[in-house]
Amino acid sequence: MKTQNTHISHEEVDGLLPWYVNGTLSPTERGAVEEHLADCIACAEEVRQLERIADAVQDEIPTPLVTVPDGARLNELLDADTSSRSRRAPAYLAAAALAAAMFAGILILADSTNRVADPVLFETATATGAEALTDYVFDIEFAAGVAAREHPALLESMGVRDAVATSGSAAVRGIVSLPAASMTELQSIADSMAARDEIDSVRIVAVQLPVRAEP
Amino acid sequence: MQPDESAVAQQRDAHVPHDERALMAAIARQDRRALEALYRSYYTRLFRFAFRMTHSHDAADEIVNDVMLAVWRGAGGFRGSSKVSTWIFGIAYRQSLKRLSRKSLTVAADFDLDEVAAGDDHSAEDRDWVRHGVDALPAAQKLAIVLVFYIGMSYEEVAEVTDCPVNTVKTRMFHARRKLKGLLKEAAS
Repeated sequence: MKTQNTHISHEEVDGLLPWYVNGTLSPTERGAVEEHLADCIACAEEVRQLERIADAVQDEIPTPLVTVPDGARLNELLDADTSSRSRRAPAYLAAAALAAAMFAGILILADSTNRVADPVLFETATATGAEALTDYVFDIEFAAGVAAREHPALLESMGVRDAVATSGSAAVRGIVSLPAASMTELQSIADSMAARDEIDSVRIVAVQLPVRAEP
Repeated sequence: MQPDESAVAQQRDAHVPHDERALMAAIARQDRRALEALYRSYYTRLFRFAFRMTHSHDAADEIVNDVMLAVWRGAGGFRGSSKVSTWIFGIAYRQSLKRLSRKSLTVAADFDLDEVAAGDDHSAEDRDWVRHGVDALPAAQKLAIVLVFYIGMSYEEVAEVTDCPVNTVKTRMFHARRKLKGLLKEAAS
C-alpha cells in the first residue's frame, strides 16, 4: 500500500525516530520518516543505535519466565482495604453533624512527625457525645506525577474536604470528619491514605473538637 | 495448574466479562472476580515493566499488587477517555516513580564503567552497557525509555501515562538517547 508522504524537517524526524523503531508511528509519519532516511545518513545511523538500545532493553527478562501468582497477596490487600474502609465514616455525615456542633478550636497534635502527640485530647473529643463527628486536619502530599487537576477527585474519594493547597508544593491541608477515633484507628486511617499510589505522605496535624452549644 | 483446576477456573470465570471496559465497570462495582481476571491479564506485562525498573522480583511483585489495589479503589473514577491499558500503566508509572524517588532500592545510579565485564561476546557486552546506561538515567528518562522500548507505547500513550505534553516526552527521550549514545560510543571504543 502506498502511504501519503509529508515532508518534515530533520529535527522533527529525529524526534520521531524512537517510535519509528518501536513501530507505533502512523502510516503518514512512517512514510515521511522513511523518505527522510533514504537521504539522511545521520538519521539512518541514529536508527541503528536506537535498535541496539531497544534490543538491549527488551530481552532482559523473557516473558515465559514470569509466572502469574495465585493472587493470595492481592486478596490480603483487598481484605485489609475493605476492612479499613468500613471503619471510616462516610464523608457526607459530616455536614449534618457539624451543623449541630460548635468548634472549640484547633488543637495541634503533631508538628514534625506523623504520629499523634497526646492521647488526652482524644478523650476530650469523645466526651462530647458519640453521635458527634470530630474534624481531623491532615496534611496530604501528592506523589510526583499526579496532576493538580486530579487532586479534587482524589481528596473527595478519601473524604477530605475544605482542602487548601500549600503554596509551591504538591501538598494540601484538609479536613476529614470521623466519629471520635482512637489514636491507633486514626493512624491506621492516615496510613491507608498514604498507601494509595497517588499519595506520597499523610500527616495528622490537628483535631477540631466539637462541643455542644450552651442553652 | 491441574486440568480439573482449569475447568473449575473456566466455570468460575464464565460470568466475568472479557472486554476490558466491562471488566473495569465490574471492578467499580467491587466484583473481585473481575479484578482477578484483570490481574491475570496484566500481571506479566506489569511485572516485566516493574522488574525492569527495580531489578527486584519482590519489589516488582509488590508494585503489581499495589497497582491492582489502586485499580480496585479507583475503577469508579475510570471515565473511559483513555485505553484501560494506558490508565493502568499510568498507575504503574506513578508507583515506580514513587518507589524510585524513595530510593529504597539500590539502582545502579552511579555505575562504574569498570564493572562492565569485557568478553568475547560483543553483543552481550553491548547490552550490558545499555542496561547500565538506562539504569543511570534520571527516573523520568528511564521510564520513558522503558515505556517506549520495553512496553512499546506510542508517543501519545507515553504522554498520557506520564501526564506530560508530547513535546516533554520527546525532550526526555532526546536527553536519554544522547546519554545512551555516548555510552555506546564509549563501549565501541
